[in-house]
Amino acid sequence: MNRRHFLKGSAAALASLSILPGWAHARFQKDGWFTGYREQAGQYGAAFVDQSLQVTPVLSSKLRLHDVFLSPNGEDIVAPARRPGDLLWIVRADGDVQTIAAPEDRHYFGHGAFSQDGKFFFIAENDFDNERGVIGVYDAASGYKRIDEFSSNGIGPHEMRLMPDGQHLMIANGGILTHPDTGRAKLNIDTMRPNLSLLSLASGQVVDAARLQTDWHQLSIRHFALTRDGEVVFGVQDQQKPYGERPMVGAWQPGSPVRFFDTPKQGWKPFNGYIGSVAVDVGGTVAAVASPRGGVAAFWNIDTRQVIDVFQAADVCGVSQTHKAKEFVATTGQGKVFKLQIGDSNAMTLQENQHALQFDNHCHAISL
Amino acid sequence: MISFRSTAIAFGLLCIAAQPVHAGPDPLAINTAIIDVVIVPAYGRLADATDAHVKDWQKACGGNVPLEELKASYHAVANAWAESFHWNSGPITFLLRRDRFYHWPERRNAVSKSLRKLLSTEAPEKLKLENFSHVSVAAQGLPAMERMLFEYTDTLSKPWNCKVAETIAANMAEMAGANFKEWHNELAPMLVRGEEHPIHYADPKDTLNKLFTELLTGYAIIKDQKIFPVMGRSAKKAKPTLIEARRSNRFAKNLEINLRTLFAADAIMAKFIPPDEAKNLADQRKAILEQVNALPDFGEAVYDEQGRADYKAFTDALSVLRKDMVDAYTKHLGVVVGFNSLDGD
Repeated sequence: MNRRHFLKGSAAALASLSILPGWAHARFQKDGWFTGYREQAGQYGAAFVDQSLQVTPVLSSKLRLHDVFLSPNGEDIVAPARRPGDLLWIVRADGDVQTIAAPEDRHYFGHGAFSQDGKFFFIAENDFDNERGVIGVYDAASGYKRIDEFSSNGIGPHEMRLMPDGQHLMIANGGILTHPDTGRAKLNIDTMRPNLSLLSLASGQVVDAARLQTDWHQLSIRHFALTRDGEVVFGVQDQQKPYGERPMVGAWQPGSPVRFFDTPKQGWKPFNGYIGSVAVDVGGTVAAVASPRGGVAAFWNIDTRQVIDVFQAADVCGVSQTHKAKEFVATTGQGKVFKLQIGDSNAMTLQENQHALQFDNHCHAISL
Repeated sequence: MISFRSTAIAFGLLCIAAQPVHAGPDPLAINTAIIDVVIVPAYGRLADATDAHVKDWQKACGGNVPLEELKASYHAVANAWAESFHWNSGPITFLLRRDRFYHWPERRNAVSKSLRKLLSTEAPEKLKLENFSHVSVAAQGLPAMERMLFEYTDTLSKPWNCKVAETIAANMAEMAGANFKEWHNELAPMLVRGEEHPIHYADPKDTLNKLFTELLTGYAIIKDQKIFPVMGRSAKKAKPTLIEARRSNRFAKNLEINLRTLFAADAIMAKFIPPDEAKNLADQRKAILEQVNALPDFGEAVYDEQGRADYKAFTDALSVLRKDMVDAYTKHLGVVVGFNSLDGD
């Protein structure tokens, strides 16, 4: 049996993920966030964070998850494995767990995106033998069968988002080459060339792409968020030390040049060369980034590009919008969940909850 | 002959001997010991070994050093690198020195491809050090030198090839020398005074956190890069061609030195935790060293059920030690091991 085939019922694969009692509770919530987690015993999983910042573990896994997605119809939770994993987990509304393996010569990066109608799920994949990124196309209606693929236009595709028009996909090609034979080792730091690419879903072709200036080619673009008019706000991960000399947050409107945001008064050093996630508030005026290695989240006015505030929180990484303009939730690897309101010149903590779980990279807003 | 660098190391050893045992969670004292006893001496040996190696090459290209002597001085460089393989902060990261010195693991035989390109066209301008630092990192460091010495048979007989090898050696010596000088003359004195370095390290607590994180990374490198990819998911999927430094047959030697250098830093940190927990870690370190010395040849073991089980038991033991280290040092030394900050994507 080829790994390309559907693996439903594979004991080994299914044993790695199970549904927790909280699943039924979370299913009926109207909105909130999904986040990956690790518990003290070393087990991993996905949890639902509700509006009051209460956390309900819904899935338990032996393997670490990355980003977790809810299908537009609210029926399926979908989670592609993090690099260099090759399993895609799907949990159906009735609690049925399915697992799909990537093709033999592909692995996942932990990120994906649904099409507007929810019929297709796109996954960032590594075509490692050919040293290129691809977007795998999975048919949700036929059990997430992999039906097609197209080039991501770069190496190391990571976060992707559907553009507001529903017809295009934005993908961050981080530029870093990895291969499952060498674990998570980075193999092309001297020649890496990251980009942001706008891809047509109709043709799979590149509509537009943005690259950074040549001497900043070691700024890996991995995470971004979109404003309502399709402007990309991105954060980078600097592969060249010392950190602090190169900018780390910027914006790109397809058709225009990349612009970096203003430098915080503390400089870029507090970010310790690493932005782990990016969000834009529901009003589309404030951008948030989180740096777990720096232990900071920072906020910018998207229109003026000026810094609003830099907020200290150890191991903070997940950051996401809420229903309200200028408001975010942020999660940390030390079990904290914050709700933050962003004023004209500062970030205020509206609520802070401490949990026993360590929250993983991403906190993903869902709204049914 | 003991060089200036080795003398500096011996002084450092005397200093650590005077450190109070269980002095409490004093980041500065721990940093000072790790820097003086482990980091700077290791980089000193790397600088000395690369110096000697390039001198051998200068003589060899004139026909005065046999291949076996060159191989011996290569092994001295490789031994020294194995002592510092996991440090990923400070001057070794300047100008991509760490990546240029040791481009491993590699992509699709990148080292051989880059070297073949370099060897195929005689372009003396490329071999000027200031230019050579811009050729592919795959052709610049120790893995490239391994190919020149242990795979290619015409390195000494072809003048251009010999000149390329001599340049690789000189490039390594330049990087190792600059790295040692910057550590010894500038960074180490600042850090042991508890001062913040404007580029590399903040306060002593930040420094200790970084050093500890890199110590943990060393264990991850051994498991995730040196062992698991070679073993594959089954004997059928084993890939012995991925064994580190297989051409010079250094896998076992590297592994032992890697462990000893990791354990040296661990032992220093353990001086500052309660004796019962320090003893637990020391017992584990001792058992692991015995275990590693009893491991079968890796290239053969990956195809053999018992051999695979032996290596699995070894990596399991490393995982237990790593967990106990994290538990003890976060509790008693105040180091923070992040979840996202340690291993993010």
